[in-house]
Amino acid sequence: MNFIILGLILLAVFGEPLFIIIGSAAFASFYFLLNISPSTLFTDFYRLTTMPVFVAIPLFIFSGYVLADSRVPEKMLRFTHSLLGWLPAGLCLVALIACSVFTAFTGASAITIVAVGTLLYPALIKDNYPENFTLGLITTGGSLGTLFMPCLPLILYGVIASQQAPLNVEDMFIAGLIPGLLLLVLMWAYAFFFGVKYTTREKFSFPELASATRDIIWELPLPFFIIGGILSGLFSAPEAAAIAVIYILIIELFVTRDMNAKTLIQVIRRSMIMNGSILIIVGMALGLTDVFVNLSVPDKLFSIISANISNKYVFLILLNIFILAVGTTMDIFSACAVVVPIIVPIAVKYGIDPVHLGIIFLANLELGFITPPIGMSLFISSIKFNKSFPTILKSVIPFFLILVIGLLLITYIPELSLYLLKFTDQKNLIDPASLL
Amino acid sequence: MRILYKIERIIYNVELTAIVTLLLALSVFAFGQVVMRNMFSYSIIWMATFNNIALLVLAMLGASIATSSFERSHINIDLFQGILPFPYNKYLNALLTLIASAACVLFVYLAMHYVMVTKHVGKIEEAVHLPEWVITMIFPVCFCSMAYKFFICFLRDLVDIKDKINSNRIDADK
Repeated sequence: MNFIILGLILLAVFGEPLFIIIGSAAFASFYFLLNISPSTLFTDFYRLTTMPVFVAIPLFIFSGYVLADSRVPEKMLRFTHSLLGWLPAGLCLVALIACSVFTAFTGASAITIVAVGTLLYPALIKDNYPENFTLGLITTGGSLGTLFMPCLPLILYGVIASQQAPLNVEDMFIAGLIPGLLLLVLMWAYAFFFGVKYTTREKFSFPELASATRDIIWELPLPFFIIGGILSGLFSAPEAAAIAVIYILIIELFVTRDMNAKTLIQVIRRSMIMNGSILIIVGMALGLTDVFVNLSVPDKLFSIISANISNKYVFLILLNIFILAVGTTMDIFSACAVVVPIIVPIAVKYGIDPVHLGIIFLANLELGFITPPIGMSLFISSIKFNKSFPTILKSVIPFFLILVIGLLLITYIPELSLYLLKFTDQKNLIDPASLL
Repeated sequence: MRILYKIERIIYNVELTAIVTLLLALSVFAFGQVVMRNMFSYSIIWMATFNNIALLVLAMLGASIATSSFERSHINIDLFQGILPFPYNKYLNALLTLIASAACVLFVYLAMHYVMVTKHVGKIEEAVHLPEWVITMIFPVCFCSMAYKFFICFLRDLVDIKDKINSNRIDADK
């Protein structure tokens, strides 16, 4: 079995699709370690059909791709610029908000950097911001919306962690709001100095704001509707996804006519490729989770760790380092599918709320997007802006440090993640002790 | 060789048609459920079951079209292929796609075993009047398609290597 694991790790490092690696690991574990038929994995995979919350995944991916392919990025930038561009470092704030909103809806930094970054880069350079700063801002902004609803990793974490601990996706949506805003404000605070030093403030123009609002009037209610609907408990995540898809389709196809039937088919193709490549990993990982549970892997790991670490805060530091290391070598979706089933039971035994853990986990993986060797945003920016990899890497270092500060605040102040949950009547805070 | 590529294209088009139809149906039915539940306090069970099954089928079909030689969009750790020079990166790619194809053949065998077991159990999805084993057929069918497409990727990599080496040779002769 050790030989198989070593071989699979080597194949993964060399670039074998991860669903093959995770699937093979699960099949081999069922056969060699549990002595049961490897086909058992498909029983776990089939469980996808028994969890209705999964329906939110293809629907949110689809709606995000429709938005990305329509004129929405352009309209959104114009609107936020006319609303906030007059503030000091206003364009940076516009960039951060636009990137966050877009990542939240598309769930993937590649699309944000390509769709929004392409429009922002010339605007920031024209506004006299240094190139190095601009590249760092856009590259980091590509993953900034990971903690905002309805971002895909939030849903994935919620669904996978709910197999191990009582929480739901809507809890994750609400818990991510303050930490997400914190990271955004920290980034803006850094950008503020550049804004004051290099640029002159623009004047607020009401006619421009009115015109930009008219331009985006149909798409503008969507984020408020989804956030408001979920916060008020009016509808669940899959319901919000269904409403978002139909609303966006009607608007883009029939009202603004930014999209036609031919483009729609290409959007469906690309979005469902993304959906398929994520869900096949999740399906295979459900089998691997079954193996972990049967072999009591989290329990064994907990007894090893607790023998050496009794302090919750030391554990949290080590957990952050571990997840950061995971983020540097694995993409966010695979990390959710493989690592979450192991760390959730262990963290719960240390008294960490699984919702808080989820926010720590995703904030770490957000950093993983800009950390080599597998920092996806670094590669995308390098290709998109035709800059060398070291140039991009150098540009993100200050932003990386700022996000680390944000991560530490999120880790050691659980209220940042859990405070808003107190105000949602249908959701109860989970007492980790009750899970033991 | 051309016929093999053509078969891949036909499979791709069939899968894409199914995906477009299923996704649009899923969107409409999911929205219909929201309207029914919130406005009439009523839920149509077959719609909910259909949506859950459509999710699985969409996942497998999406993964299958992601494997096509003209898509190659599966999530992987793409580190060495960017670092290694030609032709080593292509050789590595060819080897990996061949292994992936072999792995998918194994997955087909295991998935068929699973289908047989579910057929033997004889459970029926009452809401859609469909035996469960029919739904589970999506596993062997899609893994079979993926095995074929990974093999086509392998062939295309070999052809790419051959073409590039030939063109380099012609350039050198000139």
